[in-house]
Amino acid sequence: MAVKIQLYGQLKQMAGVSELSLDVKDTDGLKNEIAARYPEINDLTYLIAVDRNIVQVNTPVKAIQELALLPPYSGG
Amino acid sequence: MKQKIQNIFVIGAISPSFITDKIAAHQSKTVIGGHSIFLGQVRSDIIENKKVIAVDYTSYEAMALEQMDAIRETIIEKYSLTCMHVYHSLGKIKSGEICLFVFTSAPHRKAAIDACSETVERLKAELPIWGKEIFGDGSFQWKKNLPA
Repeated sequence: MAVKIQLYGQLKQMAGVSELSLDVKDTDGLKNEIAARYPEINDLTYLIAVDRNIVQVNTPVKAIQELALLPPYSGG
Repeated sequence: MKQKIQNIFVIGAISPSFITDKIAAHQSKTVIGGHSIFLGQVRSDIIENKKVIAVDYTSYEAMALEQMDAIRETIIEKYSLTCMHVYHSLGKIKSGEICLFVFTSAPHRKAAIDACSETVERLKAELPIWGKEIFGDGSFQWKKNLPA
């Protein structure tokens, strides 16, 4: 199942796009796909947000959910 | 009833007149005895002999506003604030310009000061906002927040 993933900050710059569409069923699967397709992103620290909340443990994902990869914050 | 989520984002720098207008708008709230204000200014760091001339801010805005709303609710309750306002710039802000304005008000000073400080620390750590430091020669690097 294809899910859309928003990219921000340095990750958006590195991928050259603001959104990816990947065939994954959970957040661990998403990490594996990123590692395989974008090794340069995998070398960075990033967080995964599902529906605007950070998830720390493997979480199932559905196409209707809002997914995002977030590099370390540097606001303020 | 829960209030609508407040927008904190301002496109471009936060002007001194914007700040003074916000202060003036609180003169009618006479329960307030103290305001505390934090202003973040873009610093012209020198990194490997290159000078930062601006920071370009972007955000995952929908998530940042939800996170800020939760922080606001917690801090207003913890310090019994009369009110709190937060503004953060997006886009390219030149060094020397203001990019963050946190404004807390309470009946007494200590609550206002402590709430302001905690809000600044929490928003820097918890809001999905990113700054790209732009150098005079057009190159850039992604900003990293340091503790305090």
